This record gives sequence, structure tokens and C-alpha cells, in this order.
Amino acid sequence: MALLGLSTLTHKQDVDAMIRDTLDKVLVLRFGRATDPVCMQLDETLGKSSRELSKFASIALVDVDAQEIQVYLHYFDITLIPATVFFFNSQHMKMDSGTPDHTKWIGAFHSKQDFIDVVETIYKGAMRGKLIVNCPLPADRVPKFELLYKDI
Amino acid sequence: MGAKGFSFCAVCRRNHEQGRGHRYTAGHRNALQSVLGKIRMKIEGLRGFLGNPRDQAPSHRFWCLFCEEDVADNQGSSSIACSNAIHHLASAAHVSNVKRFWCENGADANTRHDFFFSRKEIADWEAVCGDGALADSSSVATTQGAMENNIHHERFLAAKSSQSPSVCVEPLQKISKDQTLQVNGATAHRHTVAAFGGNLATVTPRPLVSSKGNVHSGAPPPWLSDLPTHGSDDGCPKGISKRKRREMERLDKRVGAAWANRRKAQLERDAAPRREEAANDWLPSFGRVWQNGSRRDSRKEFEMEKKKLREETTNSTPPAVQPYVGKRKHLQMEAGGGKHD
Repeated sequence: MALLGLSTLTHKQDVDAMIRDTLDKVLVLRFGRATDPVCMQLDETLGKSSRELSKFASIALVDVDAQEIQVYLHYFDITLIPATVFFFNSQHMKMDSGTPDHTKWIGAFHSKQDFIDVVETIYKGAMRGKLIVNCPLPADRVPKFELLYKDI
Repeated sequence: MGAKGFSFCAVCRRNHEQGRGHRYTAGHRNALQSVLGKIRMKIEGLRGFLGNPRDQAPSHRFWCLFCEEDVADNQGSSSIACSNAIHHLASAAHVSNVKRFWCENGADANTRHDFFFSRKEIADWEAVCGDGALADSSSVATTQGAMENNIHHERFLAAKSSQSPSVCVEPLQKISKDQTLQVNGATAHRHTVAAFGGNLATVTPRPLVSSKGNVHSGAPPPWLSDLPTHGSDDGCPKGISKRKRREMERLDKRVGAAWANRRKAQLERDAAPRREEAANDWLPSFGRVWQNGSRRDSRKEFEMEKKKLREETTNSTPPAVQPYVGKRKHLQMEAGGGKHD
């Protein structure tokens, strides 16, 4: 949403360049739709906190309806939106928040401060060489969801 | 969250959370060597009695580390020397325990046969003993039965039967040097079939032509698949100061450090314009590149040379030397000359 100061990516090349060229900063990619209400809520949180996190985090939005983005939906196994994926120096960062899926954050954040705390935890863990970090938020502020897996 | 469980190493006699890697550590190897050395000495002593079953044997009660049980003395119940111990070391249970110990502790497989008696050796020993050896096997059974009545032995057997293989909770995934994901143990290749999330909308990704796996199975990430190849990929930018190098060493433990350094170098190379080839007579704009000393010295030297050059070009003949004439006298001379005329 240009209004919030965040760019929306619809091409794989742009997403690849964003991931590869964001160095020594946490990259936050929101996979969702601009028209979805929960996505809109999350986008507002991301937009409001982007300036405060600009020193160590970059935020971008990715449209899940674009054809070129489907490869990312397959790779990250995204079935619920909004899904927020974190990267650091082209490495995918995971976060254990007590949910079935550690590879992304699903849903919106309760408040702007919650999102800032999560990004800060990821940045601190990444600077120490950790690929998976513990979520600093209490369980009642983590959106609940259920996933049914199929082994291939 | 994924912390490795603690397990006890009987050789080192300490708890550790190194998992299967503990067997390769230097401390464990040293402890294993010393422990096996001691056991080997005892077994070699018993092996001597294989050929001489009628000799008087000293007390040969010992703790079998592999079976984790006490091998009792004959206690004068048999005339065959060390029959109890020899039967134990030849038993199938002991052999299988030795094999298990070797697997668990990573000892040298070539030395395993030193720690039990083979069937051939026992057959030869029994032939030498004659009927005496077979008669003594019952005494072995009774001693073992006596051992089983021991409450500690019962507890130990109960613990052994209920012991599950050491649970080692490995971290979810590891990143290797080429930045591909590897999942420990069996490959967890799975994908989500259905998802429920309250007020969250679901998304069904459009089917791809070739699905190469996903983040759960450790497939290579799509943002690194179309990487353009660059010319020379030096890991670290050259020509950096010592302070910066120290700072970089501190930052080297961050996630993706090698990638970040490489990418920064590539971006700098792409951003810097190509330098034009310098002409043969090019000289830097500031003077005196090749001389020692400070710029003040080189400036003084330059001014002296310039002055000398100026003098050489302007004054080819020296000026005529004349005596000093005062101003008043000069004026009188001019006036006197005019008056005379």
C-alpha cells in the first residue's frame, strides 16, 4: 500500500531482489491480499511501525494472487492469509510461537508493539547466528489456527 | 523448544547433551581407550586359563562393562579354573552386548574380537577340560540364579527393559554451507491439505508445473535459484582497514554472514564505474609523489626550484656594480653640472 509507505510486489524477480539485497536487516514479507480485512489490519500495523524499524528491518507486501508469486506460496506452504515470513541475509528465519507452523506468522498482530517485539527478537537471534527464535509474545496474543498435513 | 536431551555415557561417567556426536569427542575416545585397555588386560589373563584349565586361578571376579553385571568367582565350586568367567565371556548375550557397546561408543571394530571368546576357543577349552566343564555349567546357572534374587539386579533388569532409546530432540532444521535446508532424521516432506483459522481467509496456490518440494522438505529456496553468476566471487572485500576487519570478525557469527559479505562486495563492484586507462605521462595533481618528507618540505623545495628557474631565464647578464652615492651629493652634482653650463 503506497499510502502506508510499503511497496507491493507482484513479480518473482522483485521478491528475489528484495530478499537477496536486504543485507544485515530483517526482511518482513507479508503474503496476502489488499482487500482482505485481516490483511488490511496487519498492513496498517506494518505501515505504522516501518519507520521505527527502518534501522534494522525492511517491510514489503506480496500479493498472493499474482501468477509469479505462486512458487513462493508452494515453497512456504501458505494456505492461510495473511502470512508473514521473516528473512535475514537471504536466510529464512523461523519463530516458535507455540503454533503448528514455525516457518511463518499467520494472522495479524494484536498491537504495533507486539510486531516490534517480534522483529527485535528475530534480529537479535539472527545477529547471534540463530535460525529459529522463541516468540516473545504470550500465547493469548498469538492467533490460533489448525493445519492438516499430508505427507508425500 | 528443541533442546537436546541429556544422556549418560557409561564410559565417561557423565551426562551430556551432545547426542551421537559425543562418541567422536577427544575426551570420550581417551576414556574409551583406558577402559578397554583395563578390560583387555583382564580378559587376556583369563585367556591364559583357556589352555590350562586345571591351574589354580586367583580371584577373577570382575565387572563386565558390556553386560553391566558382576561376573562372580567360582568360589571353589569347580576344579576348572575361571569357568564362570569363561562361560560368561563366551555367552551369546555377552557377544551381542559387546557389539552393541561398539556401536554405541564408536570403538575400533578390529579390536572387538579381543573382548569375547570365540566358539572355536571354547570348543578347544571344553575338549581340554573333558566332562568337568559340562558339569560346571549347572553351577554357573545357580550362581546366576542367586544373582537374580538380588534386589538390585531385579531393579536393574526392570530399568533395562523399560529403557527407551535416548530421545534426542534435534533442532528443527539446519542450514548447510550451500544454504539448503536439511532436516535431521527422516525427510519431512509434507504439505498442508486443509487449514482452519477463525477469521482468516484461505488461499489455494495454483498448481505448478514442477513442484520441487517446500520449506518443510528442505528444498532449495526459490530466491537463490535464479542467481546470476558473477565473475570473481571473493568472500571478503579487499583493502579494508584493520579496525573494520575486527568489526567484521565480530559480525561473522550473524546469520548469513558469508552471503552478506559476498553480496556487498558484488554490489560495490557493480556500483563503482570502470576506471579509464591512465596515459603514460599522467602524474597526480598534488606534487612530489616520489620524494620523502612532509608536504611542507616538498613545497619549499618546489619554490626553490621555481626561483632558480626564474633567475636563469630572466637574468642572463649580471647588473653593473656601482659605488654608493648619497642623495644630497647626487642632487648637488646634478645642480653643479647644470650651473656650470
